[in-house]
Amino acid sequence: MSSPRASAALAVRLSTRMLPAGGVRDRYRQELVAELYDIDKARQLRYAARVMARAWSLRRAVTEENTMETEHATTKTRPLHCRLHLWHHYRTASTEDGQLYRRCVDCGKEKTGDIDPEGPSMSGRGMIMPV
Amino acid sequence: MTKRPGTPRMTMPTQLVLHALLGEPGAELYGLEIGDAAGLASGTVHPILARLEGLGWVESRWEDIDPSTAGRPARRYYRLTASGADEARSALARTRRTLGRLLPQPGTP
Repeated sequence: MSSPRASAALAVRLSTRMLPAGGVRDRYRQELVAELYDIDKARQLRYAARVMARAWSLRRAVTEENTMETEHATTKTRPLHCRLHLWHHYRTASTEDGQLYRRCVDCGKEKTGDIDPEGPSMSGRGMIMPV
Repeated sequence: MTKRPGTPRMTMPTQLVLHALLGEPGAELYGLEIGDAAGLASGTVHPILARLEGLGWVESRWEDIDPSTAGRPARRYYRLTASGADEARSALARTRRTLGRLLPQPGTP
């Protein structure tokens, strides 16, 4: 097991610059660089490129702290406007793998009809359902 | 579809990661191993693991090695928590049921 290519390690380090400075950034920098040691040199740059491509998703995952889940979980009852389907406070959120979608921050309802170009998730998102 | 509180969106990559972790209950895997087991490209797994960890479904720890002896840095190992494993099984089962309702049954016109 040898040290990774300098260019791959640099690319991984650069991608972690998108993360909040401090413990989170240090953790992922160390974790992702450590994984380079298990990849043969020919594939290391591809790995680094994919990590860079998903750096924004990782940032969202570690900074959102599941804000939407917390908001949803702490809402004891759905507001009247949500229950009556008068209006929803849709806000853009992202899936774990970085796809964007719209979800009501008050009740968690997802906006339907916005079919992903990459295909629907298996939870039914993107599949048109009557409101 | 309204998502249950405290549940990640059950996208296909998330389901694959959960299946990979449930496939070896109690075992600790690091990111590359999880990606290989799930058949996912590198870079996809860590955002999913970060969210699952934020929800308390997954916990992680640094490998306990001496990097100078091992010749490499310590890996970050992940495993499902006990409650996370239960939640993951339930969420996967719910997703299967949802799919069963939404997809046409074989043999139906």
